[in-house]
Amino acid sequence: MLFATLLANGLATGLLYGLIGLGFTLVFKTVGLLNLSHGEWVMFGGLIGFTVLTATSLPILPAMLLVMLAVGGIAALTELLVFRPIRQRGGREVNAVIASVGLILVFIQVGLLIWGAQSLSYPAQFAGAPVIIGSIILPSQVIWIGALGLAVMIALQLFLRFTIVGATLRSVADDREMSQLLGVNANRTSMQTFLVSGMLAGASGLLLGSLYHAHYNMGLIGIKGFAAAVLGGLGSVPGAALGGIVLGISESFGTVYISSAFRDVIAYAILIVILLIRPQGLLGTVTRKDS
Amino acid sequence: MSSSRNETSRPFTSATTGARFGSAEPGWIVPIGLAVIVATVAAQGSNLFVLVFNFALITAMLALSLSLIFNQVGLISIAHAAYFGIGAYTSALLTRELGFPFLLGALGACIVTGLLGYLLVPMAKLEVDYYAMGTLAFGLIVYALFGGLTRLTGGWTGLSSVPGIELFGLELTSGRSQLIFLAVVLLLQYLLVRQLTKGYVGRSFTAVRDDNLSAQAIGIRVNAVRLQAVTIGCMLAGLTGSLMAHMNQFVSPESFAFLDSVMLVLIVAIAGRGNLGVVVGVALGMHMLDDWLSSWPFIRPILYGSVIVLSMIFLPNGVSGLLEKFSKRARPARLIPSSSSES
Repeated sequence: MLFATLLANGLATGLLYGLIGLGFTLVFKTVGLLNLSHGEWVMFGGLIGFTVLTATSLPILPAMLLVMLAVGGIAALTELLVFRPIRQRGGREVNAVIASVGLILVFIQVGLLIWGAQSLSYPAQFAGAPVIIGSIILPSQVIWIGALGLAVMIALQLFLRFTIVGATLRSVADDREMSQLLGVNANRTSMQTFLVSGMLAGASGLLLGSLYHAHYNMGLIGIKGFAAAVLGGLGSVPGAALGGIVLGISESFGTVYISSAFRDVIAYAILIVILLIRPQGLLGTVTRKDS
Repeated sequence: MSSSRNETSRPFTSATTGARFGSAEPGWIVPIGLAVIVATVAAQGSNLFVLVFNFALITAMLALSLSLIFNQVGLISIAHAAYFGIGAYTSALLTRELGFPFLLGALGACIVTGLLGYLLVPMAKLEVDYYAMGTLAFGLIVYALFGGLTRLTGGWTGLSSVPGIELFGLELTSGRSQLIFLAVVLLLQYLLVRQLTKGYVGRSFTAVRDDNLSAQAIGIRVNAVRLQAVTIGCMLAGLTGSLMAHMNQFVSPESFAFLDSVMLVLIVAIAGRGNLGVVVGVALGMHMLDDWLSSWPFIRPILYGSVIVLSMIFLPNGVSGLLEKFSKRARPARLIPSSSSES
């Protein structure tokens, strides 16, 4: 059954889009920065994941943790070396956005120089018979990746809800001025946000690489993550999951029923339409940043 | 008041350094400077150099029109190369397929790009930053369509045998005649954009850029102001695209990629606000540098990326800000008092 396969693929990809979107949203809400280079962290996740899985014989879970730490480190370094200096030297928000555009160029080229231009396919990770439901055959890989994506999302939700650091991040995202008055250290919070956001990007990069393949140019997927987050309503974890799933499914059906040449165009067009018609997203309410 | 409150509440100061309106350079400097440079190039440059310089003039036009959107009303558009490309394809198709003369093709390009720019402005409605992301997506869609709609655009091989530039029966075929024509158009675009930074229009642009809530509070229609600036900026980009299509007599998707849009953002960000002469100068300089660097394709993006990051850290107001700092001239009155003079 083509229909069910497409649905499962769309679900798994969509959850990963949601994951990317969440990492993106976290920085946007908490640090107040539209980090356009978020997708490049995903790219690093995919490429580092390839190296880890081919060079060592680690199973997927420890490998994923390793990649998350590595990309989290890259993200934290970016904050330390680029975004914090911009803030401290009195740069405007727009300066930071432009700097993140510059980072895209650097990161893509670094990825190209280290890993080369070819698409890197992961070694097979998920041995196991395909799951057969009636006449539908689902490769176990898709199910595993969907499940891992969902697990990371749930872990993030638990982290934001039940830890002190998570509560701090939420309070800053909610009302930056007030939480600073109550003694939240702004620089430390930014650093933590970037770390968590980078870890999410690393995890989604590795899972994406495992589902398709890793490539130095895969960072543009960050836009789809953003589209997922906006579609669901920026800032909510279930919203991003929902937005990602809607996006992933419409993409996987569009590829088959409309045209595979315009696969990416579908997601970008959805983003533009949602920004024009309902920028607060499916689940969101209108809140303005400067009110 | 509200601007200073916002500044403390947000980690990135919201605006207002360099919140001048108008353009700081003396009015004669760009016309005279451009005339001198163009005359020198026409007299001394080799034929190849003239061709390269023609493209530099095109880049300067694009930087000017993007400057209207980015430096004047503060919207980050990462799709300027896409509008440029739409202009080029529209004009090429109108003249090639329907037999329109060059001037009508250019007009058609302006109308199409202006309309598209107009339709996409509401993406900034909820959050200005969304506009950057939306235009990024728009640029990628347009690039994919240029390559993918083979029937219409000729796909990746492009459209060849586009009619040349023809003005009232006069055909501009040599590089030098095109050079003069492009320089005149650049000058006209410069005068238009400079005029738009002055008076009520210029002040409302600056107000919307620096603090759109305060602008709204004093009765400026924020959305209308943005529509005005973006539509004009995109129309100029379309016009420039048309010029390039007919100058080359060939259009292919390569010139309208993501990297080209980023390159233009880089130029206007490094040039900074409040000085259109600097925008033209930086664009010409960067284009010539880019041409020279094209033999190192691996280092080039890293170099650009690092330059843009470093200039955002150390020169948040760009070259214009640097000039302003060093100029002894009395500063014109500010629309919104700067944060430094307030505290």
